[in-house]
Amino acid sequence: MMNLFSAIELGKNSILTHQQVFNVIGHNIANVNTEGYSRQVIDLENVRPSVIGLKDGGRGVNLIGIRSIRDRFIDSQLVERRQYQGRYDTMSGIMKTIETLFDESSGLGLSDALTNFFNGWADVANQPTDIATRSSLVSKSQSFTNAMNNTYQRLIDQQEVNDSNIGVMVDEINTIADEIAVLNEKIAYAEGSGVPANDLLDTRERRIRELSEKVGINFYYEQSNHSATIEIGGRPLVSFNQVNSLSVQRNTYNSNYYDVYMDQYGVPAYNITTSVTGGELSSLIETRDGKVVNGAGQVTGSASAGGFTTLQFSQAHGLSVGDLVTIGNQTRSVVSIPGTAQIVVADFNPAITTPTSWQRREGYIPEYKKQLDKMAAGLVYNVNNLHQSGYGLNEAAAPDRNFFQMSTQPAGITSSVNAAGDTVTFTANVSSYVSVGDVISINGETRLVISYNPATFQAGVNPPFSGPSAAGTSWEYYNIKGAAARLEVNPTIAADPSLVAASSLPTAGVGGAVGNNDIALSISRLLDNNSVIDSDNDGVSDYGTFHEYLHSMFSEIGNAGNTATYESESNGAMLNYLENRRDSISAVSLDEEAATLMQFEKSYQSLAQFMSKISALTDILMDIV
Amino acid sequence: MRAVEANWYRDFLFNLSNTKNRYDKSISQTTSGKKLNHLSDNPSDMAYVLTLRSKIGQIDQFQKNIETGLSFLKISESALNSVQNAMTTVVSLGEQGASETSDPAARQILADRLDEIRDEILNYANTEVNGKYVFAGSAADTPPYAKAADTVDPVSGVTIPGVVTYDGNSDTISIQADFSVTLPTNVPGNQVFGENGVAEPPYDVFQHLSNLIEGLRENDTTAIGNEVSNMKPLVNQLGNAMGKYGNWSAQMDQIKGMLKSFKTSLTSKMSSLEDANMAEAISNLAREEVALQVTLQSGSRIQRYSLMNYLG
Repeated sequence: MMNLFSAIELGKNSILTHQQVFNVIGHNIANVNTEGYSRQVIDLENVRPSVIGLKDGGRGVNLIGIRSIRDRFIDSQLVERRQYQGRYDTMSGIMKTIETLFDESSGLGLSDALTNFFNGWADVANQPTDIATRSSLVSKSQSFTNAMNNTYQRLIDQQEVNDSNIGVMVDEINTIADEIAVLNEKIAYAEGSGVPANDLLDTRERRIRELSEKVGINFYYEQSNHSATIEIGGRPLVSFNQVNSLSVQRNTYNSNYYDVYMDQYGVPAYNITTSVTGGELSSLIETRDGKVVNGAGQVTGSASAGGFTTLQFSQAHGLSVGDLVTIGNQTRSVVSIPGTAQIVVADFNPAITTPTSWQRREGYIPEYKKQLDKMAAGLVYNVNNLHQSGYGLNEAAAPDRNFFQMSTQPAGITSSVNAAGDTVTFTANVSSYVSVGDVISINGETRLVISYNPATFQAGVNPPFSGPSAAGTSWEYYNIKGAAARLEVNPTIAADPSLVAASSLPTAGVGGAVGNNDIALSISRLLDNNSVIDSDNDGVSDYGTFHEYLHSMFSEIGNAGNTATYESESNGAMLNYLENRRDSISAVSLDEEAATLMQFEKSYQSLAQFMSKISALTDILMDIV
Repeated sequence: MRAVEANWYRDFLFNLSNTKNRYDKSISQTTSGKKLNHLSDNPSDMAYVLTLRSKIGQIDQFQKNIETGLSFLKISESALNSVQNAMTTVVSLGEQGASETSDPAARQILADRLDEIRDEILNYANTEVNGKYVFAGSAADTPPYAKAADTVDPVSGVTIPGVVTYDGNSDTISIQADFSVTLPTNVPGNQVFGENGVAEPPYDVFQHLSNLIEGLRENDTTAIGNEVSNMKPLVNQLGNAMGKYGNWSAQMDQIKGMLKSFKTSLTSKMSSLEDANMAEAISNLAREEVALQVTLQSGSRIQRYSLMNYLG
């Protein structure tokens, strides 16, 4: 009797175990399309007899665990790969947008507008007395300056789009980090109480992958409580159930764009902007500010609270005004450049004392903006210099007129030029108006600024002015920073094209040289001049025509776009492969589940029949009674 | 490897997106007719194409410059040609007047005829193109030669033709004919017709004509003889100017021809870089179309067969 009843018990237990198996199969089938789901398998064990003895048999089957099938190695590779994917997909998208700003292949781009501008001058050289031709020059010039202004503005727009996306991205990162911290806690609790946390692990894995797509992370699992620790640039974002949230703060030294900060327990948040290396966030920062590269040599400096800091480099720094300089995690911009191994920046706090390495930015939008600025400054310098010596129609005295508009001197600050002509001394500090690379115009001569010393109010110029000028001389300037955005035809000329100076001789009265075209011809020939742009701020124009300069910038943009697209495509292929690898291990196969289902259906049936047979046997026994 | 359904769909989507990208590229090549549509399509070719295009833009301008220059030169040349013909007449009339066979009355008639010719030459010297006086140097908006009223010689009582003064300047106007070539388009009038009675070369054509007319009217054969011999250097002076004009227009014509063939070669170079080879582009498109079709069809077959179908 005892044995028959225990057989029924055995059957019941085993049938219950089978029902759990069907549950797991159902769970697997239900999640066949769930991204990141790891299939679960059941571990069965035969139940040992309660008393070890010859006469006792086993007691059926029991479920001892549900495992999810995963490969940690591939999982971590997937996380790693996702950060490249996030980075290059975003970058390729941004570069494609930038490319469309330069609609060069259509014949309506900057390159053609530039050709038209100079051809307009050639037309005036052909017909110097014809007002219609002069008007057409003005409108061609305006098309070109508008193209420069707009392109520059679109680049700024893209920087601003990036900037606001950085804000959004930081919020998204925080949300995911919070979720991971919560999951860490739940998993630790579950695992601690011996319940397998398979589905929680899947969710956390999925969140980590999403996070990686947004920002480059390092992560590892703690042995003790199975929690995932996540770091950005070596600083913990999530550790167990703690999150150091990210936040954004505007950096006044970088056009008020966002810097990204990470909370630290008990101390002020740490600026991690330059240590973000992967994910969408890195592309947004990098295309906005340029790529972070180490500057040559060491830097020392001094601090004066609230004022300016002069930094001394151990070698030439190659920086321009407005460039970003990072030391430690402080980012400032170059305010002025007193020498080839010196810069002045807004106050560093704390001060820089011991020789330190430093970082600069390279490439992407700031670089393109700088190149457009250089080009604009080159045009203003060369065209105005020629134009100032010329005469419009019906002018007896040289009018000293600029073709491209320059800024007039700030009120009350006048200048004087020394005997050698190479130094301009101002009556006050003009560091907010005059800096290296700017164009300055005094007495009808236009020159490039190659140094400015805020202590002595002296600017060096090259080439030197033709002679000294007395104290009190008025001056005009054209800032290199944002030059392309400000490029504009002198409104006086735009209103009256007869003032376009085509002639190098007085044009008024009988015998006036209205047909003289020396100036117009010289300006039109600037197009072929291969020393028009001073790219290294030494006052000597470097080799290359305006077109060559522009085209090399286009190549740079095209190549950057190409690289990003290539990386994004090859990472896509790699990611596809890794995901296939992961799924071939972890994903649900319907065939497999069907086979398991059939297998267990058979044994379930058999068990049921076994029980009914035992029941029949019991009935036979009962009948005896 | 376990074969799982998820991978089939993933691979399908991955390949579909690749195929579609290639299909898109083919479409944009065939519809735009260009291989290079964006800066990143081939950055170095793109930069080259833009350089070629800016060169072509410049050549177009040079051709325009040359056309302007040539129209100037041709008109100046034809004016000078007429002046030279007039001078031939002047010389023969002068020789008639110097001849012993002429009587004073005949000399008066010759003088009147020469006075007319002098005015004709004055007209030619004030030739204009589009309101620009071609012999005025760069003072192009005022007639270079102005004639004062005739005067009467107080001694002999004969009428002396009005003095002609030069109001132009000595400026030369150039055009850019080629990347490194500029060519003048004018000889200032004072180099051609002389200026305000200056005795040194260039000689003043109007002064000498006036002298000849005066000699004829005063019946002064010595003076007539002198002036006739003075006409020779004047003819040479005009011939020199003619030579310059001819020389420049020949140079311009030559450069024009060179630019034309240069432009043709640049254009064909540019086209080979940027234009899609249509035959190739269209056959690519057809191939990508087939690939896309096949991909889509195989996608629709995923999971047609599964063990699940056979579970009763």
